[in-house]
Formats: sequence, structure tokens, C-alpha cells
Amino acid sequence: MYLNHGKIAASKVVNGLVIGGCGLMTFINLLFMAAPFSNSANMHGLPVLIFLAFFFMLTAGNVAIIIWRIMAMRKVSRCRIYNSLLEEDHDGIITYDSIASMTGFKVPFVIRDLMWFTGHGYMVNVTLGRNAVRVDLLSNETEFVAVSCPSCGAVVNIRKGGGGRCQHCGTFMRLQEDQNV
Amino acid sequence: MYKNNTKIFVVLGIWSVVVVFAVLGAIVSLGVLFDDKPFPDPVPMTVMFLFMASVNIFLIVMYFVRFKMIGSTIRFNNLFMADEDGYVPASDLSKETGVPEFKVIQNGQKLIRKGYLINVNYNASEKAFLLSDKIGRPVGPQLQGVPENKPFLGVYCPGCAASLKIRANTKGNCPYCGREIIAPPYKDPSSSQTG
Repeated sequence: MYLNHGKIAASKVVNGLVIGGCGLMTFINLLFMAAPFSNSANMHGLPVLIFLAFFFMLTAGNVAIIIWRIMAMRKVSRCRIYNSLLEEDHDGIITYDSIASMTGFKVPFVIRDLMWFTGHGYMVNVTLGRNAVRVDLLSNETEFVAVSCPSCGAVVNIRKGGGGRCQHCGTFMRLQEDQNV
Repeated sequence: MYKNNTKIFVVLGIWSVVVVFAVLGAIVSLGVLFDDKPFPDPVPMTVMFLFMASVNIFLIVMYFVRFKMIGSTIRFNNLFMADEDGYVPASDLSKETGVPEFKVIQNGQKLIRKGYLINVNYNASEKAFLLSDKIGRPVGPQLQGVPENKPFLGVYCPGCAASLKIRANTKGNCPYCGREIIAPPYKDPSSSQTG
């Protein structure tokens, strides 16, 4: 697992609080904007316009913050796609080109995304190389085991609890979780 | 299993509570808004109740959106579980469900991104969903040791000896010679690798 669940959950809570707070502020601002039109209001002319403009700006600011946080949440959710791809990797190295081909994103976009996710701590146990992402082999949860292919004898890395195809002959093999090779 | 049960239960739990309050809020807000008795100060009161009603209606709509997403997740999971070789083209899913291909892709990607679907990757260049080789482990103690997703096994075709990947306990055809293959059940984890 290459996701930092704690960080993702914390970010969700913070974003939720910010969105809730801004929603409340928008509500209060709308009430203020309606105040000059009430029966008991005694403001007229320019002061009303200034008053309305001020609260309109505040409302627009709050709405902009809400949209910004929703976009940020959407961006963070993309790290699940990368995590899922890295979890299926068999040799500890996955190139940016292959990630781009799988996801349909452009290579610079993938690199920028991965740099952001690792830099902000949303993804862990990965190292970004010049052309590829290196998966941390030392992590307990991401253990790879080298086995020889039963068909051609080539050495193949298999993830514990998973399976994979031999890169040379295409034979599919599975390694059991408690098997020591 | 390709659906994230934990996520589904958490989302259902939270949104069921939210929707109860949203329905109550919407009924009260709309009731006050459309009441025959006029407000003493109509503009601020109308703005307040209109805002409250829109927020509550938005929450109710979001609840149904979540509900639909969970339904799609279960549908995707059932289709993925029925697949034999771990390679599910979007066109096949489209034919099965009757939904246009681009919609299937859009839905699948969204569900993966949001964490409803797990152990699945979407390959954009091949327009296909790739199922994980991982063995799903059930959480319930009564099912311990029984893999929940009928994992894929490596078998040789008895007709042409091609190396194939097939889901345990299922029936499929060799893509090379067309011969029917019946995959064996998944063995105890202490047994050696299947090749």
C-alpha cells in the first residue's frame, strides 16, 4: 500500500471543515445582503450599493474557497489510481510512460502529480526517479520475492499474495503468502 | 472481491443520517416558504429559507447520487467476478450492461478514483479493466482462510499446452485452440506455486 491513509483522512476532515465554514459564511453574507431590502432598513442610495458590493465580494470569496477545496479533494482522490497501479507492479520499477499509457494522462502531468503526492506525503514508500517510479522494496507490505518460472526457468519477481506473468514466456504464476523461496 | 465494502458501509451510514436531517430541513424550509401567512419582513426571511431549502435539496440529490454509485459498484463487482481471465474490455461491459462504452469507462474510472472499486486498474490505451492478481481475504472470522475473490491461477491448456491465466473454479476457452478449460479450485496456501 503506497497511500498515506492518515494524511488523506486528515485532509478530508480539514477540507470538510473549510467547506462547511465557508458555506455558513456564505449563508450569513446572503442574509446581510438581504438586510437593506427589509421593511425596517433605513439605508438608501450609495451606502446600500457599497454595502451590497462588500458582502457580494465576501460571498464570492467564500464560494471560490469552496470550489478550490472541492478541486483539491478531487486531485487527492487521483492518488488512488496511482496506488492501484503501483500495487500491481511486479519488479519494483514502473516507468512514467507506462503509467501515462495506463491512466490516459500525459507524461508531464503524471510526473507533476506524483511529485505533488509524494512531496505532500499523500503517497509513501515510493521514490521518483528520472524516468520511473521506484517502489520501496524494504517496506513490509510491499515484499517482492524472486522465483524461477516453471516453464522457462527465468527469474521473475512476484509480489507476495499476488501473481504475475513471466516477462520471457508469458506463463502466469502465483505465489502463496506464506511461501518462502 | 472488487467492491470496497468498508467504504460502501461508511458512505451509506453517514449519508443515511445526513438525508434524514436534509429531508426534515427541506420540508420545514419549503413549508415556511409556501405558507399562506406572509412574513412581517419578507425579503430576509425568504432569502434565509430559500438558501436552507436549496442546501437541503442539494444534500438529498447527493444522497441519491451516492446510492447510484454504490449500485454501479455492485454491478461492476458482479461482472468482474464473472470474468475468467482478468482482462475486461470496456466494450464487453458496455454490451453486458447496455450502457454506452464511454459511460462505462467514465463510471469505472470515477469509482476507482473514489475508492469504491478496488483491485482493479483501468488501462486507457487498451480501453480495458485489468483485475488484480491479489487474493482478497474476507474479514469475517467464519470465512477465514477462504479467498473471497476466487483468485486467478496459471494453467496449461490440455489441447495446445499454452500457458493461460484463469479464475479458480471457473470454466473458459483457450484463446489459441478454443478448447474448453475447467479451472481447478484454489488450493490451500501452503501448497507451492501453480505454473
